[in-house]
Amino acid sequence: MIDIHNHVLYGIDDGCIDYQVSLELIKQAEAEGINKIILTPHYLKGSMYNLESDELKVRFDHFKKHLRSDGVNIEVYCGNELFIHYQLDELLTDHKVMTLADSNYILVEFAFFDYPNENDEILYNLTLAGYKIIIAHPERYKYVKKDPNFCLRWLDKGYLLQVNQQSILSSVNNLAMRMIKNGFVSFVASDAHNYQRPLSLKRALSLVENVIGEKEAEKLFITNPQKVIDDELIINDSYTPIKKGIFERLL
Amino acid sequence: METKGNKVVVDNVTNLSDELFAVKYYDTLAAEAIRTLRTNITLRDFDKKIKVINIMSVTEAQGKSTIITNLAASFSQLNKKVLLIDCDLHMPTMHHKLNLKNKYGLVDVVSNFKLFDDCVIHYMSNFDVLTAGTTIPFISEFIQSSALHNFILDKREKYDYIFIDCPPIVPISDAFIISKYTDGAILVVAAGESDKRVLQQAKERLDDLDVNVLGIVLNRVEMSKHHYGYNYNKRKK
Repeated sequence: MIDIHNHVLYGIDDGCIDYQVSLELIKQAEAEGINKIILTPHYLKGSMYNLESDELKVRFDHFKKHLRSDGVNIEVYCGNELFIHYQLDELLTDHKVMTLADSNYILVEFAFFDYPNENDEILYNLTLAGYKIIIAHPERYKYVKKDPNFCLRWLDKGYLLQVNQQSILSSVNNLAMRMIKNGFVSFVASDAHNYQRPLSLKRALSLVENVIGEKEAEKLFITNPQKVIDDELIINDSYTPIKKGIFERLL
Repeated sequence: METKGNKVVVDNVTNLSDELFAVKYYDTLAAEAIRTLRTNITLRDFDKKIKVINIMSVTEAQGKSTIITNLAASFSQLNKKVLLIDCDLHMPTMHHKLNLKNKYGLVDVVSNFKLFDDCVIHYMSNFDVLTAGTTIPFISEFIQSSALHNFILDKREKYDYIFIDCPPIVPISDAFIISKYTDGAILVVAAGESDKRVLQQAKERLDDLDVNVLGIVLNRVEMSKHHYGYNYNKRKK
């Protein structure tokens, strides 16, 4: 399995605080069959999560060496989880922030409570500039929880969605699983931060397999993430709007 | 993707945005309909030279931006020097249709923040585009300003035709004001989608303001398969 979203590169954001925690999470991941990971520390311009690429690369190289010397075989790549910002295309052009594993894919996140219309324009400009958009954990945004078909504005433009493994584990008929059933989702990732939010995908994979079958589940956990690493095009044109449940219609 | 000087953005038809069907898919019925519209407009030139034309619709999503963009492009194919302006500052879409960036545009030029030559995009030969530009909160004042009126008057001398995309009439009245700056207006109505009463009110308002309505385009008419084998067309009424 391949994880494209986590905060396991220590000492940069609200993820792992030191190497020991990172090492343990990565060892657990390796034990359950995760063989490649893309490290994606937060970047939010104007906040304390503002480590730029030149320094990030140094820390990444150091981390990689350290892991190898501790017997870890997982292949590691570097990237960022980019908080949406009107200067993102400049930051990317100036190599101040990173795409995923040197591909043209970028992982973008939004504010949880509010979705200003400018976001669509920013995403449009990024697409014009040649980047392929992956939206992080849409199932966690308030406006998506309120109306899951909010995601159609992204899907119709060809942007891809990544849900968190923990969102799938949370309850029986959870939002993330409904999104997966309706073809909204292209990736499941860990969004690992610490022991409470570990670098784990196995249980989620098993649950997803039960719902959409092994072949389709493999796409979300292996095939699509590999295409990101290989910078290959992923097209999702087989999604269908989510029908509101009986109780939701009554509200 | 934008260029300065004399270089154009698109010099090869295959690189054109798909939205510009009037040029890219020349042999289609829709392209033919645009050319018919073009001819009808040039035939209206008897009393006054029709150089500046705006397009409006009653509500949004009636297809006016698509029509005006294609109409402008088809005029440029007659070797006329054309300027297309996105004046729908509430929800500018022209740059999306042409895959352009909307960094600076009409707003920035009229407010003297940027030079016209720095903002105008030479999309194809004879076809210049000015996107909406910076988002501003005081759109009504901007539309009513003499600065905008003077800008259009100035560009009138430099181009053979100027096409202006406007916001829908409901609920914004910008389009009526812009119509005062132009030689004629085209009203787009999507077949089967508009309320008759609303259309009636719009017509009355246009008459009151003495707007020169060049014509009405009935958009999205379903052609029966029996006649043409196509199910998408535009007809000028």
